Amino acid sequence: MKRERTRQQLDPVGTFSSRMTTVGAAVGAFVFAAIMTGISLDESRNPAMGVLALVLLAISSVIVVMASDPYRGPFTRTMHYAAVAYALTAAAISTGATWGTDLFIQYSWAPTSLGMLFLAMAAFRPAREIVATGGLAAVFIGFLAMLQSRAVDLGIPLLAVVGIIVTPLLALNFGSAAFSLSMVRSLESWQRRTNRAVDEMSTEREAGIARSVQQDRVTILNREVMPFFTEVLRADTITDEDRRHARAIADSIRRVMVAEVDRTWLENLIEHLRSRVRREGGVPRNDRIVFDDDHIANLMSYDQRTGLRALIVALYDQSDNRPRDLEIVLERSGGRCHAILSVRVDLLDGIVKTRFGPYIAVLRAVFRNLHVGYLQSVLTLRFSYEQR
Amino acid sequence: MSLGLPSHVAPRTLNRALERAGHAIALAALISATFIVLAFAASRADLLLWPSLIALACMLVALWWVDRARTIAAAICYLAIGTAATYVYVLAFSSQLPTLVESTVLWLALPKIALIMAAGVSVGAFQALGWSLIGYILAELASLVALSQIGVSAGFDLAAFATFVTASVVIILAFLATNFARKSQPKLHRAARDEMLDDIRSRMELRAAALMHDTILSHLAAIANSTADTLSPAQKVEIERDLQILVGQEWLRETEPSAPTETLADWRQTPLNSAIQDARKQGLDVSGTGDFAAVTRLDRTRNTALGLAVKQCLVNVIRHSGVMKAEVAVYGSDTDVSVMVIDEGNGFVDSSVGSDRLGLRASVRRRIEAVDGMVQVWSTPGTGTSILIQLPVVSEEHRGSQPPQADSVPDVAEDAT
Repeated sequence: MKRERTRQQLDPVGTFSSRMTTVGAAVGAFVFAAIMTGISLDESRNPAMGVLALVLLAISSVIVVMASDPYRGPFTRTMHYAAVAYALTAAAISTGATWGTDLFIQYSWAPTSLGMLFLAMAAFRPAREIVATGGLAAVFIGFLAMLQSRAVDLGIPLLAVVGIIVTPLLALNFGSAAFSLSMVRSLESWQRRTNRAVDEMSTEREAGIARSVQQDRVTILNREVMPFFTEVLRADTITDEDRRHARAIADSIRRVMVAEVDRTWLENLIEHLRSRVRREGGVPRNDRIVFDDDHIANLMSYDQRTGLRALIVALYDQSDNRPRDLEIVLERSGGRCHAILSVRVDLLDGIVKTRFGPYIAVLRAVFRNLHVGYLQSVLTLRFSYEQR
Repeated sequence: MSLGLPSHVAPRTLNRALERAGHAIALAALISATFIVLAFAASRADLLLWPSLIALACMLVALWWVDRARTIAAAICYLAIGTAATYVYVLAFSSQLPTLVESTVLWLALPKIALIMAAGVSVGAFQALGWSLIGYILAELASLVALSQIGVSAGFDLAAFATFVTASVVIILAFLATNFARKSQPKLHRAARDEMLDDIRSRMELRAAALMHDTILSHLAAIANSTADTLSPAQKVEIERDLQILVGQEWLRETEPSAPTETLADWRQTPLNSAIQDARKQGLDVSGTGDFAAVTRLDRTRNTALGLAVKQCLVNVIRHSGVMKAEVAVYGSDTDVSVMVIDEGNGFVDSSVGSDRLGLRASVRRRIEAVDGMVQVWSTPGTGTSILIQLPVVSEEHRGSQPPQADSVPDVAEDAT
C-alpha cells in the first residue's frame, strides 16, 4: 500500500484520538458560516443564495467527517479535492448573497470556514497537498474578493481588501500544514530510532529463544530417539524389533511435526489466548475460530499481523477471554487473500466505536480495502492483502 | 507503520508541532499585515504608515528568533517586542485611518493574532494556554492604550478574541487526545513486541523442524527400511554426527554471521551444486539444464535455503518416485531465479499425509517461503512430479515494517558431502 507521509499513516492511534479536534473543526466551519450568514441575512441582497451556500458547505463538512472516520474509509486525495471543491463553490455562491454591499469584509465566512476545514484535514493528507490546495483556494477567494470590492466603492485599496479577506484562510492552512509536517518528521525520526532498538533487542532475544526451542527439542529427543539410536549403534545389528521401533518413533514425530508445520501464527495466537482461560482455572470454549485451510495467514506482513493481533487481543480482553461467536475466515481468490472477522460485541454503538477505534485505525493504515460494519451487535471486518 | 509515539514522548512532540503551527499562523498574519499596509501606502501617498512597517519588521525578526532558539528568553523577548510593535502599529494605523478603524476594528487584529499564536515554549497544555493568554492580554492592552491616546473608539475586537478562544480549544483537545491514546498505545506496543518474538520463535521452530526432518527422520527411515542386518560404517558415522549436532548448543544460532547476504562467485560452489552432487553419489542420474550461473545472483541465505530444499526434493525422488532419474532446470530473470526438479516416477496425491508430503512442507515449502520465495508442486500419480522453486533476486529490506531477517539455515547438509 502506497505510504503517504501523513500523521494518519504514521500514527493511526494518535490521529484517531484527535477525532474530536477533526470533527470539531469540520463542524465549527459550518457553525461559523451559519452564524455569519444569520447575522447578515437581513441586510443581504439575496438570502436564498446565502442558504444554498450553507448547504454546500454542509456537504463539504460531512465529507471531511466521514472520510476521517476509521470505520468508514480512508481519507483519499479525491475526498480532499471534493471537500475543497464543494467549499469553494459555496464561497462563490455566498458572494452572490453579499454582492454590492459592504458586508463582505466583515461577514465573509468562506476563508475562515475553509481554513477550519484544512485544520480538520491536516492529519490526513500530506503537508504538500494541503498547501497546494490552500494556495489555489486563496487565489480563488482573493479573486472573488476583488470582484466584490470592485462592485462597491469602499475607499479601501483593492489589495488591502484581498489581503484581509484571504488572511484567515492562509493562516489556518499554513498552520495546519506546519503541524502535519512537524508531526510527520518527529514520527519518522522516532521510527528510525525504534527500528535500531528493535534490531538490537531481537538479536538479544534470539539467543534466549534459540535456547528455549533447543530445550524443547532436546527433551523430545532424549525421551525416545537418543536411547533408541544409542542402542542400535551399540548393538551394531538391526533386528526386526528395531525396524518396528524406528517406524513407530518416526510416525509419532511426524504426527507432531505435521500439526506444527501447518499451524499459522493466527492459530497459535488463538491457542495462546484460550490457554489464558485455562490458567484462570476455567474451561475454554472449543469451537473452531480460525478457518484457514490454505494457511494463508502466514502471508500477512509483519505490520498487518501486529495490527490484527492487537485487535484480537483487545477483543479477548474486552469479553473477559470469552468472545462470543468470534470467527476468522481466510481464503485465497484471484491472486489476493481475503479475510472476514466477525464477533458479537454487546455494547452501545458509541462505546464500541470508541473502544475499538484505535485498533481499527491501525488496521486501516496497514490493510487496503478494509470494510467495517457494526450491525445488530455483530462487528464485522472485511479486508484483503496480497500474497507476499 | 509505526505505532505512533509512546506516552512519554508524545506530549513533547505535540508541543513542538503546536508551536510550529502557531509560528506559521503568526508568520501568515504578519506578512498579511505588511501587505495590507503597503497597499494602503501605495494607494494614498499622504498616509504616514512607515512606523507600522518597522513595527511589523521587528516582530518578524523576533518571531524568527523564537522559532529558532526555542528558549524562554526568546519568548519573553518576542512578547516585549510584539507588545511594543502592536502599540506602534495601532497608533500609526488608527491615527491615519480613524474612520476605517472605527467601522471595522478587524484591520487592527493582525499583529494581535501574531502575538497570541507565537509566544510559548511550553511543555504541557497549561503552559501553552498560559502563553496564549499572556499574548492576548498584552496585545489588547497595547491596542487599548494606543487607541485611547489617539482618541479613537473602536469596538470589541472579535477576531482577536475568537483566535484566542480557538487556539485554547485546539490546545486542550490536543492534550486530551494524547491522554486517550495512552490507553491503547501500550496494548499495541505489546502486540508488536509479541509479534516480533513470535516471529523469531517460529523461524527457530521452522529450522528445528526442517533439521529434524532431514536428519532424524531420514535415519529412522533408513533403519526401518534397511534390508541388511547391520548399519554400514558410513551410516553409523552420519548418525553419530547428526546426534552430536542436535544435542549441541549451536545448531539454532547463526553459523555464518559475517555475510549472509554475500553472493557466491562460482555456481559450482553453491549449495545447489552440492545437493546435485550428493544425489549423484547416491546413484541418482541428475541432468542439469538451463542457466546455472543465475543461481549466483542469489544471496547466501537464499542459496543455502535453495540447496537444502533441492536436496530434499532429490531425496524424495530417490525414495518415493521409483525411478533413479531426475532433471534440475534453472532459469533466471531480472527479478527471480526459478529452479524446477522434475521426475517421471510414481507421483503422489496431494491430500496424503505421508512422509514425502511432510518433507515437502517442512523442508521445502516453509524453508523457501521463509526467505520470501515461492514453491509450486504438480504431481500426477503414475506420470511424475514437478516442483518449482522461485526465489527473488532483490532482497526485500523494508526497514521498520519487518523484523530483521538475520538468520541463515545451518549448513549441516553441506558438511555431509
